[in-house]
Amino acid sequence: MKSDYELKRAVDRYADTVRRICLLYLKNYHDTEDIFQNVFLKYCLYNKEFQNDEHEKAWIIKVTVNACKDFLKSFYHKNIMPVEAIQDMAVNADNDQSFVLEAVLSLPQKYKDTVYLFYYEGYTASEISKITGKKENTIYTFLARARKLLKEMLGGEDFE
Amino acid sequence: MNKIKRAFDTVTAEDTLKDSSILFISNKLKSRKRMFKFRYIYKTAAIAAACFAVIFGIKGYSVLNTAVSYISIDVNPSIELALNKFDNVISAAAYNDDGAVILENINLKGKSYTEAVDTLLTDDEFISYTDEDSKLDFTVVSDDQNRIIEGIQGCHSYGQYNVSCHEASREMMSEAHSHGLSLGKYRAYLELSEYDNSITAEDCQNMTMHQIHEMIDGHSSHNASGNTENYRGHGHGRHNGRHNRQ
Repeated sequence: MKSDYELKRAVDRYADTVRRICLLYLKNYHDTEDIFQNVFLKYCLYNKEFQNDEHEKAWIIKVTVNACKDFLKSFYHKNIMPVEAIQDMAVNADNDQSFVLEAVLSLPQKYKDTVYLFYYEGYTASEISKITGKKENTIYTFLARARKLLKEMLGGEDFE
Repeated sequence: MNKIKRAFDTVTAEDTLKDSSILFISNKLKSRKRMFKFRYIYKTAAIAAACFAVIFGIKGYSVLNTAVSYISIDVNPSIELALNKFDNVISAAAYNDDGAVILENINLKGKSYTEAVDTLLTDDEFISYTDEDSKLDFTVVSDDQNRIIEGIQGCHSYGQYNVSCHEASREMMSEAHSHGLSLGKYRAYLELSEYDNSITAEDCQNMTMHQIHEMIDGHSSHNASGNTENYRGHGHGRHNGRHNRQ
């Protein structure tokens, strides 16, 4: 069981990452708060040693993605909210950034975390495969299809 | 930097989200620690209690099964009761064939000594070995002989016989057994031998208490039944008698 110091250190390091992944999956602040607390509680209760900081971050991401997916399986039909609520959750974005965020968030669920992990976190398809549990070829496929959709939504602009 | 990255850079965890989550998780961890501590204490206490029960059980078993007092009951059947510190019978041994026959049909183990005495004295088989002339001797070895004797004298069946109670030492009991005699009969033999040293322990083995007392009475007109007395004799001769033990 990790100490309060280790908990605070992990929250300082990975809070934004967890928050972003929650944005990919969840529709409101309460659900985000639940998943956020769930992830860091699991972190505190995780007894094994991480090999390095990258290993630790990948673990946090994987747990967050799984927690969100599990949540969606339970509450998917009860918690679909309009796009406006999603915009409310991205408080610091300007119009262009919000537009890009909306475009990403409007992608099919199965593409969203792949796009985020590839374009934001900088993971390779191989690493994304390990985090999400999907086959590497599937990741490449998802990326290709997501790029096509984003280009269409963003008016053909280059976003990479 | 790509646009997606710039867009997601604007998404950060709110301070309220971080602070409330840290507080929530800290409290959760503390309650888990208390729960685990309780479980640990409970489990430790349970294990300790189990160990104590085992140890005490072993020690308790030893206390329950260690003889600290002895009562020799002699008519012609000769039976010795061994008592634990709680005055309960932990063994009953016959020192002649008559005693063995009685013990085959009666269970005295586990009873208080007073209950065992009443049970024995009212047993049909035991009664069949007695008549109006029979002499019944109780001989006690104990650190608290007076208390044991008083208990015997308080038994319901005590008054049905011509009874006398005697005290003896553990050394005498050892000598008696080495001669194959019950404590009571050996004590009586020693008393008789004071008057007639030609009498051997083997001679007395086949005599009833009545016969031994008759010989004693014949040598001494002052010795009468019903008196409590101490007698420390000097055992002689060796004789291994037969005895059955429950």
